[in-house]
This record gives sequence, structure tokens and C-alpha cells, in this order.
Amino acid sequence: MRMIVAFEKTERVRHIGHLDLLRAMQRALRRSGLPLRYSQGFNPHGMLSFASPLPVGVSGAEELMDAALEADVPEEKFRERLAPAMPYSLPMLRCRAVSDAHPKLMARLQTASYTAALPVSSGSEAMAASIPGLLERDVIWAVRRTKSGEKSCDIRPMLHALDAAVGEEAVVFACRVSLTERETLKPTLLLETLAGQAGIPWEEHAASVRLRRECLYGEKDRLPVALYDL
Amino acid sequence: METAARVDALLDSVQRPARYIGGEMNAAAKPWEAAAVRFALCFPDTYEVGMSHLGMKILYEIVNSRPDTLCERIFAPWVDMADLMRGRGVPLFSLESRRPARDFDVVGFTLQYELCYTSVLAMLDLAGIPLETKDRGNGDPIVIAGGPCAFNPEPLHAFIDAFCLGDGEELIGEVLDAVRAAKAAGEDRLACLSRLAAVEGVYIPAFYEATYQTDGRLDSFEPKRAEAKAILRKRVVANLDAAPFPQRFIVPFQEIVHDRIMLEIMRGCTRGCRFCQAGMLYRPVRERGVDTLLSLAEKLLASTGYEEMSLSSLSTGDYTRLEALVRRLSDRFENSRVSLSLPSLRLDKDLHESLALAQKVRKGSLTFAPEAGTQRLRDVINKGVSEEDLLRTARDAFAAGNGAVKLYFMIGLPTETDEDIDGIVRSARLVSDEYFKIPKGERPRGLRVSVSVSSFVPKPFTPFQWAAQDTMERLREKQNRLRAGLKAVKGAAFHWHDPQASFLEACFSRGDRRLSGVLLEAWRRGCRFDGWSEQFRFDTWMEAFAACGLDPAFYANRERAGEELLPWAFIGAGVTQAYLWEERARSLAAEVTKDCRESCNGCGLMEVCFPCA
Ligand code: SF4
Repeated sequence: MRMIVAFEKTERVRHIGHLDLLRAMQRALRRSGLPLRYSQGFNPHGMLSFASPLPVGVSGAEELMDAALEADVPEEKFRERLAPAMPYSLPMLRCRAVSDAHPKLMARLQTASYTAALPVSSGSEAMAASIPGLLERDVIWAVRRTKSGEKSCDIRPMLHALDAAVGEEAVVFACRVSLTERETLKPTLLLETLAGQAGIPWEEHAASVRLRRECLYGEKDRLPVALYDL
Repeated sequence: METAARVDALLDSVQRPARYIGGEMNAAAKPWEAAAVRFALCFPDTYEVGMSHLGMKILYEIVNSRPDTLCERIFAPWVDMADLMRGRGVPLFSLESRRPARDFDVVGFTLQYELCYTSVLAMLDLAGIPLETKDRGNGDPIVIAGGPCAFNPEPLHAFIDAFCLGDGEELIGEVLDAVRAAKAAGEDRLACLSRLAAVEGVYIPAFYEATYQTDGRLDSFEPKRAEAKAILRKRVVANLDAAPFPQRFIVPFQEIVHDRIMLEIMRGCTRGCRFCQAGMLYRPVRERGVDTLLSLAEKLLASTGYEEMSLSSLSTGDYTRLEALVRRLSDRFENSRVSLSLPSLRLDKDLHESLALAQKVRKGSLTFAPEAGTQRLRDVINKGVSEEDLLRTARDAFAAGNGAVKLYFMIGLPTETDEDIDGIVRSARLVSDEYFKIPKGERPRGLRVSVSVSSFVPKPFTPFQWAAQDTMERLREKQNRLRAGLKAVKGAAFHWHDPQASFLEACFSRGDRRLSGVLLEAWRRGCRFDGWSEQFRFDTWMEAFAACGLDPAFYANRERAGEELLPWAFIGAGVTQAYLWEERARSLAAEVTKDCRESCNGCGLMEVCFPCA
């Protein structure tokens, strides 16, 4: 059987890269003594996969990993063993047992919600004010920088929700964007485009944005459903 | 803003931010307010280097297991982070609670190599702690330091309030007790240092005075206060098996230099290699029992989840029950996917069986350290290894399917001639020949004889402490000779060290108090992370020496006479100066001194080795 595990990547450790996180989880499972399944072959590794790698610098409120187990373990027992084996900066939230036939997390991932906090300034407030204008557009051209150069593309179909709350210290933007193998909208590209809409130079704000992935979603009846529950 | 938030705000703009985040598995999170004494354990190098150091782990565990004390880690911020911190006024901070170093009662440095000294200054400066002892006041932390370099503390005497000599397991507790008592009694700094001076193995440089002769040699070294002892004896943990060893290690997120469980199986070495400072400083040999080690290994694996384990000591091949240990470890962890690696294997023991066992678990390249290229020079340095030992081990390695061999040598050893240099080339050639003697198809693929050659640095408390280091020109000539010779050896790759760095290391390893001024000057002129070749600024160092009116060659390239008062003579390191001088004479006569496990050579530690005699 497999266990879907939800954990938080706290803000403190947002700079851990994906491979380091994977290694940390492998070690957490070893500490837990739970019967993780290992791959065959010359260099066996624990069969652990993530729904989606989180970029360096981004924290995650509910990240998902999928652990293949050699033997059945009840959810409650799994949690009892793994939770204390996780570093406090990566607390385990919940877990759900699924059969080996359950689709891979990555295969059903459709969208993700993010929050992005920017310090309050005339710029970030102007960006917040430009949201309705951006959402009204049928086509939103954005410039994507890839290894092979710059590419213009329409990000409108990948943008599912966007709003902002202006607080005392920060303007917090919340969005839900596509996150699949074929279509991914990076929240930073969205913010940059929004800054363009507001006529604000994004470079001045890019360094101070604090990103957090809030939730990963699949889809059921064309509606977003938390991937964990799907 | 609080320091923690200000630190956090920097991390999006630095290289390798994971160095500064903390939050690792098994990192302590003790409540600040509840601790009577707060200890900042500092390593004057990067996170990856410092976290690989076993002594840090041992001290961290000991201090944090005291109910009245908390211990947090601080590493040297890399240059980008340090500059950013300085620019934004963010003070040096601890990894655990991200508090300013200044807020701790004791700031303790571990000194593993001389080229980290500018990092000590850089860290104190970032911390906002006055650099010099004399400028510190009652509100400043007590700055202490320990580790092998504390055995010649003089170059740092102006910056460190108290040096701790020898094994730290018991000593650290006594130091913290003294600070706690001084704090509870509301005593001033001087009273606290006086309390510390009473602790066996603690040296308070401010309580002593040194004078110099006109030619620069030390003239006198005297205590100037009643509580300052004339001779400072190092601490020795008599029973290593009973000494504390961590049952958990912090598990870093990012990869570090030694990212594995290190089991200290033994401390000390009785071989008596004459160039080796560690061999003399950590005497006598003390072993941990096989059962103790097995139980530690089990607990460490459970608490860390590490997938690799290594045995740590100066001379693992000398551990009396090595085969039993290796066999039991590999039996016990056979099904736990743990690999076992055996570092620093000696050549002269029939380790065939142990090796075969280790290979079953993990295949890596084998390392041998003949240190010198001819039998004569090996006798001079008392490295009890023969050519046949080298070749047999190489054969064993090749037979076990291992084509990569690493050989370690030194150049610049006392009495060395070109013949000895050519001997290094010859050794590499013989190893290479052994490989080609095995028929093609039977031998492992990809011969690699890596020949690593460092430059000899004479160290205090060795029989070579009086010797002159080769000049940099002479070292370069020898390197050129080696490079040319090794070109003709099939499969050989030559690795060398920068003679400039070895020269500076030689100055500081046998330096006196006046080098504090040079250090300060070099640091002010921008020297930092000198152990990192890309940061090392030799010319600036030479300018600093010149600005202080001191000649570095006086320290590095000068042969000392037997009656010269050495700057570290007041330290009782166990091994006596008389014994070292005697060993020096034997060395010059190329006379070998036997391993003292067979019979005592009277080096000076008889009280510890034969407590009942
Ligand atoms: S006192 Fe004797 S046995 Fe002990 S370390 Fe010295 S030489 Fe060896």
C-alpha cells in the first residue's frame, strides 16, 4: 500500500532545495522505522515521491508526498511513528492510506494556490488595485524566460483566481494557477505581469516577495478539489 | 525588528542560504530564559566544514544535556553573508534561536587549524564583541577557545579570554560551572577569569607576561598573578568508554563534508610519527569497547536516519578489536541499508580480512599514507611503513576490484634530499606496476594513483618543533621535480598544496604573542577565510608582517636551538620536552622508536597510562 503524507515546509526552511528535502524525508522515514519500500537494483532508494517540487525560497503550507510501503500500516500508527521523526521545521500534518493502484499524485495535480506577501508601498497597492483590470482581459500576454530565450504566451487560461488583501504591513496576493506538466504558471510571472498592468517596475519588488504555496489541487467534476482528498 | 526577523530578511539574497537556517533534525530548542548559562559554540569556518567536526557534536550534546545550560551553534558566515550583515547592521547570530552572539554568557571557539584565525576575529567583530580581551567589559561574553591549536595559544592571546587545553568532555562542565558561579555571585569579569584560572587546563593569557630578546626570541614568560599557574596541564579523559558520546547528531539539510555517522572508536595514537602533532597531543591511546560502540551505532542510526557510518580515530587499523567490531557492525546492519566506511587505514597491519569485510559493505578508493618516499626518511619521521607494506596493500586493493588508490606524502621533511623526492615517484611507479602485473581482464578497470603531496609544517609538541620549514622556493623546486617525475608514471595524478599557505601555517603554528598584532593587521587589511584558496591573500599577509616589523621567516624557516625558550613551553601536554628532544636526536640518527603499546617509551604520560604503578 501507499501513504499520502501532508507536511508543512515552514518559512524558516524555505531555502531547502528539492533534492535536500527528498533526502531529509528519506531519513525521516528511516528514523521512523516504518517499512518504506525500496527500489531494486544497484543503488536502492526509498520509494518516495512528491506531488510537485517546491522551488528554493518558497514555503509550503500543505505539501504532499507519497510513500510506498512494504507492509500495510494503519494511518494512525503511521502518523505516530513518522511525526516525531520529522524535524520541527517540517511538521507532519496528516496522512491517508491508499492502494498501490491509486493514481500518482503528480498525475492528478492540476492547480496550486499561492500567497505572495509584498511590503505595503504605493507600488504593491497599485498592483492590488490593478487586479480587476487584469482579470477582465480575455488574453494576457506575458514574457516567459526559458533556457532557450524569451517567449510570449497567453497566461489567461492558466490563471484561475487572483485577489489581494491590503494589510498594515503587507499586501498579500492570493492566486490559484495551473501546475501541470504541460501548463504551469509561476506565481512570480503572474506578479510581474500584474506589476506591468499597474505600470510598476517589478524589479524593485521582486526581491522582497515572500511566497508560500497554500494548497495543491486536482479536479473533480471540473471543480478544484484538494489533491490530498482526491 | 528582532534579530531573527532581520536575519531571515537576508536569506533570499545570499549563496547557500541553507547554511544559516538551522531547524535541522535533533537541533536543540532549549528555552532561553530557563538557562542559567548560555553557551555559543562557534566554529570559525563554514557550516559544511564545522558541522562535519566530531568535537562540535560532542560538546553540543554535553552542554545541552546539562539542565542549567543551553548551547547553540554559530558558524562563520561566508563572505557574501558577512558583507550583507555588516551592511545592514545584523549581528552574528546563533542558528538555533537566531539570537545575537553577544547575548550569550560564553562564546567558545574550536580551533582546528591555524588558517581559521582571521575567521575568529571576523566573527567577534560581527558579533560586536570587542576584539581584544583588554577592551572587554562586564557586559561582554567570556570568549574561550579549545582544540589542537590551543596548544600554542600565543598568536591568539590578545583575543581569547581563556583557552581550554586537552579533552573537553569534563573540562567544559567545569568552565561552565565557574561562569555560572561568577554570574550568580554578580562578580565582575576579572573575578570570573580568576575562577576560570583555577580550573585545571584553563589558561588565561592576560595573567601572564612575555618579554623578548633583541633578536626576537622569547626571553621570559611569567605569571603575573597569584592564581596563574606556572605550568598548565592538559586535561585527559582517562576512561573513554565511560565518557559521554552523543546518541544523536544534528542531521543537516544541505550536504556537509562528512555527512554520516562518525563513531569515535579510539582517541590517541601510540605510533609516534614524529611529524604528527595530533599523535602527541591526544596521547595516551584510549579505546571505546565494542559493545559500547555497537549500542552507540544503533542509537545514532535510529536518531539520525543516516545511511552511512564511518569509524573515526587517528589510526583505525590499531583498534585492538577492529575485526570483531567491523564484523559485528556489518552483521547487525546488514539489512538496514547502512554502508560502513573505514577511513585512514594503516599500511602495516594485516587488515586483509577487515578490508574484505568493509568492501562487502562499501567500495571506495583506498588511501595509504607512506608520508615519505624512502625507507631512510620514513625512519627519520618514524613512519613504520615499508615498501612491501605499500605494495601488498595495493595488490589487495586491486585484487578486491578497486582501481583507485590514493597515496599521501609530505615534502620538506627534516633531512630530506632529492633522493627522497624521487622515492615518492618510485613508490607511485611501483604501485602502478603492481596493477599492470595483473593480467588484463582480471584487474579492475581504470587505474588511478592519486599522489597527494603536502608541505611539511613543523608543529609544537612534536620532535620537529625545533626544525626549520623549507623555504617556499625550495618547496616549489621539489614540487616541480615531483611533477616532472610523476608525468612518466602511468595512471598517476599529482596533487599539491600551495607553499604560501603552508608557510603562513608554519608562522602561526609556532608563533608567539607578537603575532596577535599581525593577525589583527591582516584582518583589518581584509584577510579572511585564509584556508580557502580563492580567498587567500598572501601578499596582504606579508604586508601585515611588515607593518608589525616582524619577519615571517623568523617563525617558519628558522632552526631553534635546544635551549631556546619556546612560546608554548609553559603548557604541559603530557609528552615532555625532554622526550621530544630525545626523539629529535633519534630522528636525526634515523633511529626508529617502537610503538609504545609494546613497551612504554617514557614519553611523560606514565601517570595516565599506569595509574597504579
Ligand atoms: S607514557 Fe609510555 S605508554 Fe603512555 S603514551 Fe607515553 S610512551 Fe606510550
